[in-house]
Amino acid sequence: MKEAQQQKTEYYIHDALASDIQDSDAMLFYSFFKTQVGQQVTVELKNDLAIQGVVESVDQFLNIKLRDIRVVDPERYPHMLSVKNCFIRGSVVRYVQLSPATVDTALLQDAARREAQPVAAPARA
Amino acid sequence: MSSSFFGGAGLPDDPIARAREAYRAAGGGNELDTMLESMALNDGLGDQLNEDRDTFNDETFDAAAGDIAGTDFDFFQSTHAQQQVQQQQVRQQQEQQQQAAPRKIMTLAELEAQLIPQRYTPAAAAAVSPAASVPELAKQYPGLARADPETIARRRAARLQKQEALARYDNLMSQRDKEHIAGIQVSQLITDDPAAEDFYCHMFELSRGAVAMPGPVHQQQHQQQQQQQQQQGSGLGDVPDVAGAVRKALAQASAAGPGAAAAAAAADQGPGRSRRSNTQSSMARMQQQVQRIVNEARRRPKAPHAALEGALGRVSANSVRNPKQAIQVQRGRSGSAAYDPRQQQQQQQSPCDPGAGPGDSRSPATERRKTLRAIENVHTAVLRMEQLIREQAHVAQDPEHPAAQNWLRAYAEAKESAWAELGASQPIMNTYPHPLVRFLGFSKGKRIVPRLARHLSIDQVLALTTTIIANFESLDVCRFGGFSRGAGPAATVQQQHEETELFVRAVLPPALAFLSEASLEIVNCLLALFIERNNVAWVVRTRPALVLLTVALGRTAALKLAPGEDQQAIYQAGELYSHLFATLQGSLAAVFPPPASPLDGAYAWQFLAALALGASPERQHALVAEVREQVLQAIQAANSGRFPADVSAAITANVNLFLNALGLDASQIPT
Repeated sequence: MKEAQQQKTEYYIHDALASDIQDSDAMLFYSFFKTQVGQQVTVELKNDLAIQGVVESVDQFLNIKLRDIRVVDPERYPHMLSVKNCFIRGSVVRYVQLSPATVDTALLQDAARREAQPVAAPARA
Repeated sequence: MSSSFFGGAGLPDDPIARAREAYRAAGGGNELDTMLESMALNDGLGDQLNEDRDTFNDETFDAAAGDIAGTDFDFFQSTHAQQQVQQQQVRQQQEQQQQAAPRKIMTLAELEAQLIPQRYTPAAAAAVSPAASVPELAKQYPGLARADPETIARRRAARLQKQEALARYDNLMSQRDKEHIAGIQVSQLITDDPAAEDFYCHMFELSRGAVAMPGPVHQQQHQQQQQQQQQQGSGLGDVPDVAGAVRKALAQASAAGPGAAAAAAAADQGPGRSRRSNTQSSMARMQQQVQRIVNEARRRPKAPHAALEGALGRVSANSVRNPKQAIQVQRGRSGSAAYDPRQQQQQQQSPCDPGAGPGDSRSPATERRKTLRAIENVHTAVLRMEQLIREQAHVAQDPEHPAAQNWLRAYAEAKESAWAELGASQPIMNTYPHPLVRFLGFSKGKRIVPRLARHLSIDQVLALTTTIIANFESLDVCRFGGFSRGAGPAATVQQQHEETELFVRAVLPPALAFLSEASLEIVNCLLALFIERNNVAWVVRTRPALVLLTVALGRTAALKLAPGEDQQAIYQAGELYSHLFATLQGSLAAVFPPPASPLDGAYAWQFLAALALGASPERQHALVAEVREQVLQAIQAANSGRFPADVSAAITANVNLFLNALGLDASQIPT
């Protein structure tokens, strides 16, 4: 039923003339991080700063807001001593370290398959 | 300064003033220049001194400007009001001067200067009145830590000033402007199919907390959760969470329609009405507003590319959903070693000739890839079926209705494709290893089988069980057990354990459930198939085989005792049992796994118990004779003090499984 509505070509980078734009696989990360709201994570940035905090919110660009933060290596980054909340732009994040108990891997696999499906289906039709 | 005490001012000291005098003397002053100069030098105070930084007044006379107004100390008669009036006059003057100049495009500052006086005065007049006098404040908040009225007054004045300064920029955008901007932002977020995009989050929340059905109740719980989070969070207070409100609004719009919004708002008023009614109503208002914006944005979907006037070509509106193209790739229909649907079709239609597909090389790599592709197809089909089941609630129940028929057709189609890909229905003799066996060789395959089995019909489950039994020895889990039991590198042993565990936990239960419900004839047939096709003595060393046999034998025994069974079937069962026993005789001790831990052999004991159920006395003797060593060892281990009490109790219980079936008990054995 869904497949009938789509006319998307295979990859997420699609032709400019495609008539019907569907979701790219970027939304899976957004959906995933929405479930992490309220969990404690450690965000490692591209400038090697690692911040541990509770995820307060996340948006479609994967910008992350953390509260009650603690810098993992305070001696190197003393300027963050007084900071309690921060907003991290999504493009500077290198890693986000999570706790495994908060992730449902089977469901994640299913969600990834669903994201990949509309891409793959027309190739074989 | 150069103005001496006695004389007048000669040349002023600073160079700027000197230059100015020189310029004027040289006749350089015309009207425009003087106008500009007066504008630039004008600070709007007239004859008064600039008293911004003059705190002398406060400290000396113990009052702020606001307090002086109207009292005896008000030397300038209503200091504050006069200041305001003067400022207004200055601004009007400026306006006139600007309008005198030719009409030009106004800068932002000038725009503001025009707009602000209209908004400033009424707001300022309201804000000036002091909130509460100091003694009243002291009564209301005894805990307020402050020194003295002077500090309070100073702080209040500072606060008022800040308020005024900020109030200058109020109400610059109209409601329509704000909604326009909000609409642009929301249109980036909205989706046509929240179920597809937000799948992980939605299902996760369903499985973890929100046990209720989706729809208004879900929204209610979600709202409450969110509010709790907000209240615990960084003091967002009454400001509602826009993203959350958008999400809720979207889910509402997609699921239940406009009635849900009112229902949710009304439902929210119920619990905690007294405490949270303000937040709730503001949330509800916000939600309705967002709803309106969402509907607007939905009505006019923004085209991803807009051709602006005067621009050459198209301008694309990049959003998260259509990211900027990095490379353009043309994907060709290359067959090569990749999976080809036509090949699979041919394979199924000509089962006698599986290797005859065009370009089919049948190398191990090809086989592997084909199997993996089949697994993925089954996954796709199962996901579709599960999605259809979820949507079933919304489809009309009337079987004649076309929507219901569509649903049924889609469901049947998905089930067929899954069944075909699974390969359980492929004839048994031809390919080695059997496609189903290869399918189950991957842990992905093992995991999907129970999910698929939920949708299969009884016949299909029977076919699946039959195929598994017929090919039991070639299953990967059985090959583990046969060869390296405890030998080999620890990583592979670990992996083998995991695969075996997964098999027993995932693949066997549907088959076992089927067995436990099956009739005696079927059980007999399956048992016969098992014995015939597999080398029983060898396969019995593996745990999956033992589990299967245990259930089969248990079922047989239960059915024999049940009244009204066919005599023929019972007789056959007895024959099969003898045959099995004869085959196993001599190798029963090998049933036990190498003693990695004392509790490992539970399944072995269960098997022996099942075996003992149907045994005649002489067979029982033979049984006991073979496993005597194991029994004694186990009881000794349990009774010796080497293990903690619960472990010993567990060991004893295991042994008792077997002994009770014989009519004995562990306590009877002298040790």
